[in-house]
Amino acid sequence: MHLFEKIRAKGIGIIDVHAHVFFKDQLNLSLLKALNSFNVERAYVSIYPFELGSLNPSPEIVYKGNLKVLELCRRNRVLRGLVFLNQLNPIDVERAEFFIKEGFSGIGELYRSAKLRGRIAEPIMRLASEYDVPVLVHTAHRLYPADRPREMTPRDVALLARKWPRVRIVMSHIAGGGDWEYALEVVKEYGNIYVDVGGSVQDSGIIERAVSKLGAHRVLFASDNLLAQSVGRVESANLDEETKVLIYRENALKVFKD
Amino acid sequence: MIDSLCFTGHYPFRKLSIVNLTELTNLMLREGFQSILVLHFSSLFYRNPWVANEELLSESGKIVDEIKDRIRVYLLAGINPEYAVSREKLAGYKGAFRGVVVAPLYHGFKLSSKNTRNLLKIVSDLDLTLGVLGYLEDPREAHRAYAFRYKLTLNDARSFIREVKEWGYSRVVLYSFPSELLFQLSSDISNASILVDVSSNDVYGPIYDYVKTLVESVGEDLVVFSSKAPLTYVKSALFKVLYSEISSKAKEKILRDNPRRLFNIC
Repeated sequence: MHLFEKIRAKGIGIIDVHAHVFFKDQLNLSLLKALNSFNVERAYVSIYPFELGSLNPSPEIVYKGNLKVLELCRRNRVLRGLVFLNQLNPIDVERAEFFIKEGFSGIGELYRSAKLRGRIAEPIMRLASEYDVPVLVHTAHRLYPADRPREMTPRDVALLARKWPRVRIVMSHIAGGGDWEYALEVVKEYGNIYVDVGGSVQDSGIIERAVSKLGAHRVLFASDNLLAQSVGRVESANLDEETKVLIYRENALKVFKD
Repeated sequence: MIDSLCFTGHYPFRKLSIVNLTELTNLMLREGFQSILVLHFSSLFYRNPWVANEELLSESGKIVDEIKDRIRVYLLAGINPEYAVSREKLAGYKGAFRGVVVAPLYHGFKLSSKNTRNLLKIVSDLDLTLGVLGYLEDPREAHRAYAFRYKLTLNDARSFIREVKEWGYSRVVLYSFPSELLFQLSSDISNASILVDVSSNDVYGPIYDYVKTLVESVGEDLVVFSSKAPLTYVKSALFKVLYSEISSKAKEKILRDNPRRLFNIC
């Protein structure tokens, strides 16, 4: 029996800290079905960035996306909201506060409209600090062909963590394609950075290396909607069950505090 | 279950926890496989792959009988069609290798080249399986040492598939091909009865059932399971099939019947 099934037998489930929902409910139903198959008790979801039509979406469409997340979270107790915002829209940050007051558990996935630096980062990180919620940051770990402009790299995340040491930052999908070994090296010394192990890449050793470099308590289970690959990754990892349970759920409970 | 492609040896760009055939067979036994097809990593990187193939043969001799009784290990020879391949040479190894694998990206040759066509004729004469390997890793994490002077293109792949169809050989498999290329070529692949594996990494997007999409594109008789272990986690690959929204019959075909037919395994 796989560990995620053993956990089900105990009446609890795994926690996915990075997933996305859609405007189309058919896709949301597929997500819920997949979450159920893999015994996901709770998934932190934001609107899928590509649903917004642009990497620099308007405040109207961002608001609409967050409302969709709110509606879905009210209907499905397995879903918990993360408020999406465009770093370049000041009004999005103001509206983010509204969604946090409505029960959203964090901010993210902050996508590719701009790097989180200086005055762009400040209001967002201040909000996260004030409400004591984590920030999920889209991060590219790619080597080939090259980094993309406006996309956060592990080094950018490290700089952000140094500037805002009290904010819990989740660096997204180290298994999302790219040099994850480099990513882990760059962020290992920043205790307020957590890594989510979601994504499509099935490289063996990712989970074990993340645990050895960062410590088991800084590694969070995530799927980025690719449940089979992501659960398989943790199940295959050469780690004891206790450590895997930390990754599957206990760490997320501490990071999200809800 | 049959794993149509796994590896032994050292991978030059990342330390793997499993680097020899005994450890690999133990892993695959634990995962519940009855048969595995194994290629030596070095056959993709040595200029002369035959040295690596010899290493693989030597390693296979060290597997203890106790394990051999529980899991069948079939060897694959990595071949650079532009480097010392003759019918006589391959025939000399007949029985030792179940199939040959070419890797145009790593050895830097065109799939539509004359030497590849010749190789196709040789392997069909010798009743071997021919595998064509795409990317081992997600291209976004490829080490900068990879120059990739040759790239897999639609036209080159299509030309190769046409050749296979004209030759009428049904024991050809495309390993770890970029998914976008596979879907563009799906009707050519179906017409030529070429098999494809499920190991491609480059799948993104919303709830994406890659295996289901593959089955719908080329048909359930033309999809085989391979994990690329120990480069990848076995369960990540396996769960893609086991939790796919395809029929149980299709899953059986992917995990057992199709690889059996492809490699002529009883």
